[in-house]
Amino acid sequence: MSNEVGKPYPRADGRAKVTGQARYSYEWPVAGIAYGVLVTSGVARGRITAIDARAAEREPGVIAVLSPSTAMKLPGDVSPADGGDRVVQALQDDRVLYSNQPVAVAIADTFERALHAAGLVRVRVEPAPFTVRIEDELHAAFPYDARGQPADHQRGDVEAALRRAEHKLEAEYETPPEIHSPLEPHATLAVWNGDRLTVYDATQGIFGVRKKLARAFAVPPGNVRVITKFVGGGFGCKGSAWSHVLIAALAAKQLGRPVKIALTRPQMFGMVGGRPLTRQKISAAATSEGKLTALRHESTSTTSRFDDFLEPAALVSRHQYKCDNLETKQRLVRLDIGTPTYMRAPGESSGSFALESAIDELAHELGIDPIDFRLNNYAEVDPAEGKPFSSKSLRRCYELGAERFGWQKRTRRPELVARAGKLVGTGMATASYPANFTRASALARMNPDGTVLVQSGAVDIGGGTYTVMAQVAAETLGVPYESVKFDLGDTEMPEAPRSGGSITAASVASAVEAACRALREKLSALRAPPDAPVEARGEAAPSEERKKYALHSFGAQFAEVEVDPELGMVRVTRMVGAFAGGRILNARLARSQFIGGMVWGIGMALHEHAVYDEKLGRIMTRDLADYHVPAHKDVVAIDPIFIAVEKDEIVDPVGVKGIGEIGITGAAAAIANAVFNATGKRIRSLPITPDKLL
Amino acid sequence: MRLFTFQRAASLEQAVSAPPQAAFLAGGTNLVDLMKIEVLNPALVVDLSRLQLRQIEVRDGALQIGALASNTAVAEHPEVRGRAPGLSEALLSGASPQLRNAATVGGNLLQRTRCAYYRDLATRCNKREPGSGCDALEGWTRMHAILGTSDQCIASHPSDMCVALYALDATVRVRGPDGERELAVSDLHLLPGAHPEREFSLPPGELITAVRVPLGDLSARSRYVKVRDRQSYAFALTSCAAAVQMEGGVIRSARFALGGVGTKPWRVPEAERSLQGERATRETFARAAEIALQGAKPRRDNAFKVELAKRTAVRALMLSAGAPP
Amino acid sequence: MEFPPGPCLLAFCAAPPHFEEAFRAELRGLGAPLLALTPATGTFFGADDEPRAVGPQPELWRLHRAGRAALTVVLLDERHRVRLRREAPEAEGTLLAAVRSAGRAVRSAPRGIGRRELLLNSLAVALGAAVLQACAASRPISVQQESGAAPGLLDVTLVVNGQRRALRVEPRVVLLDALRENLGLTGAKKGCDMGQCGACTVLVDGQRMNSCLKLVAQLDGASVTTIEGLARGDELHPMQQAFIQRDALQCGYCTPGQILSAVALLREGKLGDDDEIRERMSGNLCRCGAYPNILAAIKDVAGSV
Repeated sequence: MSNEVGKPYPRADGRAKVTGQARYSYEWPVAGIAYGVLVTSGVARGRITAIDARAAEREPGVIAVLSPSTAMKLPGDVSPADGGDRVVQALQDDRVLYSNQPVAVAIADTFERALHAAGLVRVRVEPAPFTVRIEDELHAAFPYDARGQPADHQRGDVEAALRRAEHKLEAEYETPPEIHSPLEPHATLAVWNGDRLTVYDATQGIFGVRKKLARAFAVPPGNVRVITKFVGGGFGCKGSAWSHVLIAALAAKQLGRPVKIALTRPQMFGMVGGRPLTRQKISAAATSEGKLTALRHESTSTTSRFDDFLEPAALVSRHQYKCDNLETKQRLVRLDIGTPTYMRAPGESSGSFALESAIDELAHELGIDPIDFRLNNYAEVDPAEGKPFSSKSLRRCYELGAERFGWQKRTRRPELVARAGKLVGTGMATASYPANFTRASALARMNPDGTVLVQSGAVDIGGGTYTVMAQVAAETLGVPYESVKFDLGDTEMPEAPRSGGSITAASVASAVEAACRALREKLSALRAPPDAPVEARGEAAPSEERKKYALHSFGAQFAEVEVDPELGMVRVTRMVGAFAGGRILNARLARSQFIGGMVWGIGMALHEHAVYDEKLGRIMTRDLADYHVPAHKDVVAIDPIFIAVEKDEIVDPVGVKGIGEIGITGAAAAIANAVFNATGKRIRSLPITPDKLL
Repeated sequence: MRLFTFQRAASLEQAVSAPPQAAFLAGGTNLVDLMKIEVLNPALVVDLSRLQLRQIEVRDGALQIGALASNTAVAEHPEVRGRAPGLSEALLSGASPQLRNAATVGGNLLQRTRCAYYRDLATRCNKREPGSGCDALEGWTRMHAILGTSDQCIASHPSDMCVALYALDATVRVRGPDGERELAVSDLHLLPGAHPEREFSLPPGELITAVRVPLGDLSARSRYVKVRDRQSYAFALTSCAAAVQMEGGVIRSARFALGGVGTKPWRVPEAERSLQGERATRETFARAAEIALQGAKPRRDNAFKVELAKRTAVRALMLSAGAPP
Repeated sequence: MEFPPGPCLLAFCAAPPHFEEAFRAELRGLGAPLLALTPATGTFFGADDEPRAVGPQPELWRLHRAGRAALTVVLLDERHRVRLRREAPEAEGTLLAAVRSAGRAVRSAPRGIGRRELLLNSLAVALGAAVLQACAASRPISVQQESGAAPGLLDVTLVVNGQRRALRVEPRVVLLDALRENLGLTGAKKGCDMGQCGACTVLVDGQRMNSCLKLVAQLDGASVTTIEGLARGDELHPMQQAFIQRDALQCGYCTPGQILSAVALLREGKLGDDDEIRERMSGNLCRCGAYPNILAAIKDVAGSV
């Protein structure tokens, strides 16, 4: 067997991307295309009473304006197809449920004409009372299960332990609403041919889109083909089909010509998900020696009125530290907003901010070094259920990270260290993320000339799927990497899960490995070299064994910040992340994923905040100038290191844990802890902007 | 964007004789942006980009900058960097290299506010539609003004360059159907008052042709400090352009203008006068900043700007005072 | 002249047809240019180009085996198979009406190839090859148009990646959309459409600019470089190569803008320290966070110059 897995091959699709040849959904050349631009509501809640499209329809080149009164009624079922699918608004009724909701679409023969026409459509809404303030609805907060785990969970007696405590901490933390903001706006291009539909969609999950469209249009799934060869970032917001997907397909069917719709940047704030606001409370107790005796993590997050989605921030506390008295609570509050969705490390990123800040506060109060405190409470088995970890190398991560970072043991009050007029501080935190795995399938084909084609209907959202799967295939087949091509992104290929939840590498690699093993067996049974292609399929699914273990990736995050003492500006001057993510398929691409996650940590800590105008019920930070994501100058030295092979034979057949999300977990806390170290100010509400440090 | 008639002005005379409702197009980074979101909807757009107004030279002790000189060209011109560094710093702190390559000095002077309500046709805005109301007043006001506001409008002025030009006592040359005139840059921008839709003192048809920046000891010591939510490519929370001239250990004269806090760049002569003859210390500058911030009307989300603006001013003044002669 | 890829509409006319602006909308809708032939003339007409003479095409006429109709319209798909053939009756009169009718027929055409199409296919293969050959031998001339450009449309010529491209567009069209939708150059990306992300960065007369905020109307005669114009055939530009080597990309959407911005940055000269590079690249957002690798790639190229 060749050792292709792990090798740092450059990205297989790199050339296509750097030459501009890679085609994203809006860019597929289709004859007869018509352009659609959505019209959205400026009112947060109510009923559409009238839509005046006359001015729009009079404009040159305008083909139609579709609204709830003129759009075709979808013949099928538009309700969510499964737990990962969302309720959308596809011009089927006159309800307005949140500000910036799509209420009509203008179709024209050029983009400029469609855009202008959309602006001419007058929508009259009879407004209804609404609120976007969590305070107004806290009384109606309800428990909500997440990830198959109950909303409330307790071990031992937290209340009693808190009463007995030698040292206690009770603190509230808040993470703001955030918006994924991938560079590529959501886009769907729909082409009907009779009752067969082809859709080029900017999605992370082509089979989910297929299912939703087939259901909505009451056609067999085999009639719908979804193609996504390249997508410009997802991070969770392209994990389910939103309103525009159905609207594009609907318009194409009704008008009898292909239609493509891309959201404008402002339209990406509200109708395609985001991370919801979380209000969290940590109550913790420890002995003077630094042993946790109680830990309670409560979290409340917000969702829409019409679809429940929970940001499971409290879950992280079930797995992170040894504690005999452990309690977590998850609550949900409904507001008149668009439904949130999975956003890079949902739960662990927001929850780790609270937990890892709280741990830091406790350690500081006790005069114990933050790493030592965490080691004192190291969980050898999963704290919540007592299950063993399938693999855990967190100690090594703390060690490697501390050494690489040059961590100075800290036992005293923060020293105000200055460097060229700026205060300098350091902080650290634990990173963790579940190692998910779900059913996937793949196909492997050996051609007579010795080249190999492997296919699976996954999507490469930037993690390098095109590359690493070819490596897995090459290694399993014992052939050179150069002879293997991996193709993806078409529902005509074997089914794979949506790319997200750090699930692709584990699931698809396992399926690829299975398919290649099956192909190898077929080939070895042949007497002579084949003169026709030989094909085999493979499937992978989670084993029963997995249920007996706790399955997570772990890591240690370190950050250094410089703070301007008078003006309050914070700059992260360096970060080190030491991660153990099972078997690393490609060192070069893995490094990029870790960096990406850590950069998201900077954004989460310092920049990102989707602000609602409470009177209007509307997000006012509605473009990239008002909603800040890190720019180049914000990102200095990001240095991830990782254990190349953390052996784990339980997590999945290839031992991969998925690394797309762990990079953000703990990062915001490490930065916030560094800010405390620099300034003596503890900021418990993100983002840490200059005004909070004045 | 609405359909419009596009004309290329072949000469200054032709441009100046355009009908009053014409919008002048230079780099497009502001006008095209606002036309795309249909905040501005001119029926006639006159393209100035072929006019010969890109000169950057020193004459009669002043920088003479053509209205069509790009932000990049001005920021990087050796005479600007050497003799009015605050202007260069201000320009380089604004926007991005791509935007600065296209944006012109004239366009920068006449750019519109970044107020999120002004830019959102679904909200009420007195600047867009006089008398319709202002949703910003009770809304998200982090980026809004605390000085020069009225109950009709609190939109802040977004330009960095203008803050520096105010501090440097720049003048603007303007040509109209009746000929040429020169005005102080601070007379170009209007306070919103009861008519926020009136933003400039230029009557229709008048065209900015050049900017004049006097050069001397003050301009040579000018500095620009900008505080923002991101390290780059972000509008100011607060900013300050300052120029302090020292003599015999005390301040001989000082100028400073504040950005991010006013409906136009904010300069208070009384605050500047208070510095004459004083020593260049944090305390002195803080007192002057206090004067400059008098009358500030903070709103729910921008109260921090009062303190932050003072500190920004102190920082810029200290930098300038310590600058080498 | 190149025969562009994709479908093509052939019109066989008894007399030179009168061109109308409305053709453009129809051709754009069909996604096909028009080759209009009379026994003595041939004119090639793209949705956004000036019409150009390609000379008479006697081989095509022979293959066409002209029938009684004064006007026959044939639509070839991207592989030059006949998708539609219509002989326009007298009542339809003008070429525009025939083209419109063809367009409607295409949109409602059932899937699949029928016997009639199979018969026509053999004709089409020959036809297609002849068309290609004919167009390769063409030379551009200006066509006299009686009515001139329709009111409100502008004629603009850009030199894109060294090639003259003629556009006839509404004044409100910006360079980004002209590149992506009119010229089929989708390398420049639309991230925000308002100058806040840099994904649309191209070089205009050598300077990096956001193409989403540049009206094409202002750019007559300007030279534009897009990502498609950087490589020389198969040989990548050093910056493209460096981006691959340093993995300075993930999803790839911001990548063309980053590369062009970086190329321009190096040409601007006076490269300072790392922080200066970061500052001067801050007009290109990367949500995937590839910044450290982008910096490394830029330094690689800068160092090797």
